[in-house]
Amino acid sequence: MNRKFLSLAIFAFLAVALISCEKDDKKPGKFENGAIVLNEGAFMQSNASVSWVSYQSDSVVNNVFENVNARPLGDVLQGGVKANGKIYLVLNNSGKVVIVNSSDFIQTGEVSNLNNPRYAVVVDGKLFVSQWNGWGQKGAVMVYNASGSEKIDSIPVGTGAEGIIYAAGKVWVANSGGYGVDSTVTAINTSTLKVEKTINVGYCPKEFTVDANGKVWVLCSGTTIYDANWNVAGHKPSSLVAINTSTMSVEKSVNLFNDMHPSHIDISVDKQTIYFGGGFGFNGIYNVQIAASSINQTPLVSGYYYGFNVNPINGDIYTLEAPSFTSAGSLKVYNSDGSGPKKTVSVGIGPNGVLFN
Amino acid sequence: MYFRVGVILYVFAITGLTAAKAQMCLHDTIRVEEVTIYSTYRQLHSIGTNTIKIDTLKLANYQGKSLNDLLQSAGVNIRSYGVGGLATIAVRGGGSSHTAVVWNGINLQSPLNGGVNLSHFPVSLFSSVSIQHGGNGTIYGSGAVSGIVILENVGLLLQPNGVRAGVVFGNGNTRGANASVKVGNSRSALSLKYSGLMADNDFEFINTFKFGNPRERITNAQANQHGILADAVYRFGHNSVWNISGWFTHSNKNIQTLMSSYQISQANQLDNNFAVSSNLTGVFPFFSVKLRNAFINGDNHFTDPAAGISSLNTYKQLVNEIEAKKTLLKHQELVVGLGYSVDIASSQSYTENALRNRFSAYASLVNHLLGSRLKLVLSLRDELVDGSLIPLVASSGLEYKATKRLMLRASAASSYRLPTLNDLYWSSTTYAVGNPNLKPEYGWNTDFGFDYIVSHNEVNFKFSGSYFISRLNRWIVWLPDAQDNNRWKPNNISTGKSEGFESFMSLDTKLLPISIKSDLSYIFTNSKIFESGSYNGKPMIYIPRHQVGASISIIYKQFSCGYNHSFTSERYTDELNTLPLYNLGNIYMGYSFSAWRSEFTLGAGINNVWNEQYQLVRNYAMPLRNYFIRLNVDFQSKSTK
Repeated sequence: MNRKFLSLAIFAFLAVALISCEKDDKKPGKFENGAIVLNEGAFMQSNASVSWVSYQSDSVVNNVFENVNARPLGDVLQGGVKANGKIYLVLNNSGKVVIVNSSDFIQTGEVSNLNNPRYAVVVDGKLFVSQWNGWGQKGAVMVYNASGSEKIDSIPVGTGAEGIIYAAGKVWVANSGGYGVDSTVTAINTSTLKVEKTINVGYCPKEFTVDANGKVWVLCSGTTIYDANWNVAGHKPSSLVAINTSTMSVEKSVNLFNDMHPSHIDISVDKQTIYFGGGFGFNGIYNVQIAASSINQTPLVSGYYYGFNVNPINGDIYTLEAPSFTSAGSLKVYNSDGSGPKKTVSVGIGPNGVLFN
Repeated sequence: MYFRVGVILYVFAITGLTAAKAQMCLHDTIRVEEVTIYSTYRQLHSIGTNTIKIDTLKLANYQGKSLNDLLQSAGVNIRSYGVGGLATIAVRGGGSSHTAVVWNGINLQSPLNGGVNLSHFPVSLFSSVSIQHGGNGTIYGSGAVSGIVILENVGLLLQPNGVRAGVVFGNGNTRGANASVKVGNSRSALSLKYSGLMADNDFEFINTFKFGNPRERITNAQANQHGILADAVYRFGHNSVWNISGWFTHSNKNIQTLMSSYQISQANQLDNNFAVSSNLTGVFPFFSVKLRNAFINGDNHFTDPAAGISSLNTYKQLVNEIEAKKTLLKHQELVVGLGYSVDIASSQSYTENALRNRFSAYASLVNHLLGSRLKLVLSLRDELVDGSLIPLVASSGLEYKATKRLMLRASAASSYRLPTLNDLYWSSTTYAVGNPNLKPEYGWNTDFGFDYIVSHNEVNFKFSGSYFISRLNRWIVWLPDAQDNNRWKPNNISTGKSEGFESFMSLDTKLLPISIKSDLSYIFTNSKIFESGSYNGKPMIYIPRHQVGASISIIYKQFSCGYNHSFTSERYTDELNTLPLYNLGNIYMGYSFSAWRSEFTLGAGINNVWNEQYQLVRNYAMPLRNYFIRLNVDFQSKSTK
């Protein structure tokens, strides 16, 4: 009798434990309905990773790629883009783009032998990757088929090809200057794969967004100028520049800061409010209406965020803290009005961006 | 501010004067052997500590290799950035700047970053290599926090004259040569040693970072390294000896491509290091004096055309010390010392040249009690760094011969590490800034242990064990500083805690014509960092919890063979990631014969015999199984002894 009772008790315990495991453990294979956090990792450490954060709960799965594919992702996860059921992960210091299924993160392809790749966009079955190339070289946009198996073209652009976006039938590339200074945006015809126009904007353009009127906004970070002895000799100011995609010319420029250099930009759900800020050493995330001619000098959200993105479904601001590059970063979710955070979770090392899956 | 240094000098001066009176009637018998013993005075500070000396057979087997290879085979924790790349040591936890590497009593840690690149040190340049577990800042000063590697060329006057030469060839297009010559007599001697190594280092490895785990070759890892060491010793009468040593090492090393990268590295590092030291020892009727002077120059030029980097860093160190030793009563020895050293550095990463002046005062008292069954050493040190006193440090060691075979020992020491010049003087940029307000790191360690030694006929057995515990406070860590625009900045923010035990067993037997030497070691280390932001309470990076080393050598007539094995457990590389455990085995076989009044040794070996895919530092491939052959010629005249 006692043995029978004991057996039943053990069975019941195991059953509860198994049910609990099933409930708590997010099994690899389903990584939709959540935010994909891109964790850059530390330079030369090859500890870049991807975290999945549930929209509904505080559930987090860290190190998704390695758990699924049984190998490290690579060195410095600079950017990523989701398109047609795939996620393209750009590994800067590994010189590659890793292609995975957006649902289960199983790797399906890879583009290798890139030279300092930064960001990517997929248009009409083609993968466009911006890359700096080596020291002293102009940047380029490398074009592959969407599966990554075939190289189609290489398009020379400005120095330090950084942010890349598709809008109004063209691919727009921000020529950030890379190790130096550039002030141009390149527009590429996606059919002919030729440069249509190079447009002068502010100093060191880095990232894009598109507003409700179809205008392309580029965040020009500016930069700090040093003399030969590493003393600060001055600054190139930061600005927001709106480009009319029809005339392919600058329509509006909003001055930001003389000596502060934000790195990231995103837009609200209704595409009327631009958010900018974050990046290394920049305090706060600011907002400005697309019709405004100047910015509010008080940040919407204070704090040092290495990256941020706005959820296109509900407008929540996903901010990313990288306290060091040897320990875990954190994701804090704020409401679109800056209140919060309403969620804080631990993610991988050096988080710099979010994809909404 | 100067009070503490004054008190130390005063107390020991008074003690010394009193003792001098008591000693005046003692008959003094001074011979060159005693001078030799005095030259090893600093080893008195190993009393009570767990100190492992690499045996001469293993030293011979690692001729043509670098110090990091030798130490790794002895179960010491080495971090190597790829084959032939930057290699540093970490004993009992801590970072690469917490273990001192000492040559002829001079601490070689770079004032720029606190590290020592062991891959620049050919084994063949040294006749003695010891590892002292646990720090002792009282004698070696800044940086001797977790452990000390002691490199020496001892007893030159007693070594036989002769010429040695050797060549080694191996996979990776490895070509090495070493040669040495020693001439002299019982009064003076000169030794010259050369070691050179050229290698492509294009070893095969399994790339676990890439899709499909392809088998690849390491790229951009070529090395061209040369080292010259000169030792000269001259004896004045019976009572004084002057030893001058100098070395020059040149390393032209490409920085190997990361495993995860498709872009072949173009980085290169050029190092030229020059050092000269002078040790003048005089033994007088009532006391002994030693003058030690050293000048060290290090040039480092890192270039990476792909990133437009060309960084030139140089440093110079001038070290001056005077020590006096006095025998007190019958079984006491007192040593007092004064030191002055200057560190000068220039770097393109500094806004100006960095200069640091250091004055130090130290004293030790060694007691031999209970008929020398009990040895006790007590030491104090204080240092004035650019006008600021650092905390007083002290150490003590005790050895008690409980039985004929059993030695009990204990030691306790406090230690410190000055901020590096990089920490203090790094230029202020958008991304990083140095911190001139840093304080020295300050720590302590203690251990208890035993040595059980049995010698019976031709069998020698030794078993030793130690339990240790250590703390390091005000650990300097570079982190983004939210109070300073999130720039990377060093601060005294962390505390390191380590504890564990070390065990070592050796068995040497001579069952003629067979001679067998074997050893086995196990080290358990539990090390954690506290108060370092989100890293609080996490394991120290690159510190394994378990390390095992084992080796066996068999000599049968003219044949010899050996195998050594090391096991290293999983290591954290950051808060979230680890490197897997690995096993390494190396085999060596040799045949010796005599011809033309010379001893020839022809050898061959297999490194990584189990073909283990491993990394010592994440992302840096290490070679799979590889082979080498070696020929050594040893011509010796009769001994000068």
